[in-house]
Amino acid sequence: MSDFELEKRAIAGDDESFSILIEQRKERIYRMAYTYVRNKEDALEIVQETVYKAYLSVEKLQQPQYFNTWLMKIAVNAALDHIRKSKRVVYMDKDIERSYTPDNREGKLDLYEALDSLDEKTRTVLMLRYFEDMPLKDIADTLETPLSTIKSLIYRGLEKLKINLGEGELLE
Amino acid sequence: MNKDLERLKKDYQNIEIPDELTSVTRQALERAKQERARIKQVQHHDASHAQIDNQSPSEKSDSIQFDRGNRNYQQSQQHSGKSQSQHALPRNRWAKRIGASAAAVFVLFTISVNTMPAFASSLENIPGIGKLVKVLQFNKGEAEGGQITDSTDIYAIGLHEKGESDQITIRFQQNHIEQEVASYFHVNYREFPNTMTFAVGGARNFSAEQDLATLKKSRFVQDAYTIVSPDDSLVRFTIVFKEPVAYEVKEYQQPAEVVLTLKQGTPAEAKDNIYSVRTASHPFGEEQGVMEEKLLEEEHVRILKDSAGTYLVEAGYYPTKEEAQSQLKRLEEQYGMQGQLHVEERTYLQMPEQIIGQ
Repeated sequence: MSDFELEKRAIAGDDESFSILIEQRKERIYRMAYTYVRNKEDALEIVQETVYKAYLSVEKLQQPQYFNTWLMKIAVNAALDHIRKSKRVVYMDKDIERSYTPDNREGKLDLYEALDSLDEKTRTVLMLRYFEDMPLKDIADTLETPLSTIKSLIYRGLEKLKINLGEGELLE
Repeated sequence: MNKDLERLKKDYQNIEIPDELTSVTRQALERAKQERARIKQVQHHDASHAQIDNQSPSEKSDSIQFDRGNRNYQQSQQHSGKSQSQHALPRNRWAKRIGASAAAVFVLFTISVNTMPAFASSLENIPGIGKLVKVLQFNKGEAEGGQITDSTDIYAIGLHEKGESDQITIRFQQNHIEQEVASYFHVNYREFPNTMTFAVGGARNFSAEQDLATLKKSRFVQDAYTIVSPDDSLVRFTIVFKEPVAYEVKEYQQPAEVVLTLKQGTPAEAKDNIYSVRTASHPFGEEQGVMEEKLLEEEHVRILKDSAGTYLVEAGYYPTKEEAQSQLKRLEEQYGMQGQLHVEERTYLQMPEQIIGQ
């Protein structure tokens, strides 16, 4: 069965199709969540929250082709929500954060260092674009932000990371 | 793609996926299903408020539902409240918007679940994902399964409608990881009224306790409640049936799951009333434990909830009043329970009445 068919069925209330779709995407949700919180427990909680919310609201999704962006939107929001909630209670310990960071080899940019140097939104945009290979249009939909803003966030983000793309690569 | 980005992407893809991920998503799905079922129950409750009004158990489950709703609502209020307080910081503007849109998502979903009749038909069925270990063989209404474990949490109990039958699933976790094999459990089935009691050993937590209320949604289930346990590593709960049911209990592993399937039983031919020998009613607590222990040698001892929501211990029931009274005498003398036991006449499916002791 195609994803589109599964998405259609999930929206119509078919639990099995929904489960299959979540099964296929759970690792992506987890990785994304992990980059925000950098620890397994919190990342799992975000996944849980995402699946829970998604299940309860899937029927309001009108068009099956938006299933992915819609799910990612819920996941991003769940992650940001989670961060805000935990910040209210206890501030992230920078040292603990460091300890999750792999060795920084020869001044090369490492993943978490790179992400840390960016603000929340730029980080999300770059992650969706380059790690999740999401088209710009979908990112704009996911974050409910105009396409032009997404583009400039990407430009500025890459600049900050001192990453130079070849001509035209951004819009590929 | 750019080399640096390539490398970052690789790092990203190397983020280790924990083993628990599958059980976490399954658990979330299970919870969400139950939440949806509860929401439907509330709708039903609203629609037939007058009808349900005098049934305190259903009201209780609804109030749980409302509490939860409120909690979520407060949370989302807190979020937007917080984001507003950060208004002065421009770098958090986006955070504010996301916060607001999260609240919007929440509001939307609240509206959608309250107005969407399509939800009503979608209680799909996922019990029995693991491998079948066995179908329990009941002997004189008793059966057992599973393996001895410790620190188990009975974390989810679900209800699934499947055509003519309803399935009740019980799931087990240890340290938030779904168990491979079910914990040791004992089941007994009794009549007058028809009850099934599960006793799960090595269970120190019962996260699914709140799920028991959901079971009352089943057309076969009158009530479901926890009963007092003689020690802190045993969890016991009882399901009371509305009508004669045919039942089957299956045990699965990888992941561990116990599935109770209920079907319409053969309609009982007019059964004569019985005479129960029982204690007075008390609120949930130690009292039942003490009484049960005194009567432990009686084969048919069980703890029941009465029609007023208090609890009692039944030593057994008998076909005639005379026999019940002579049994009562025997029990009083044998266990030193003078004045603590009563004889109560009940019809086939009648719940015990509240009896206030001296």
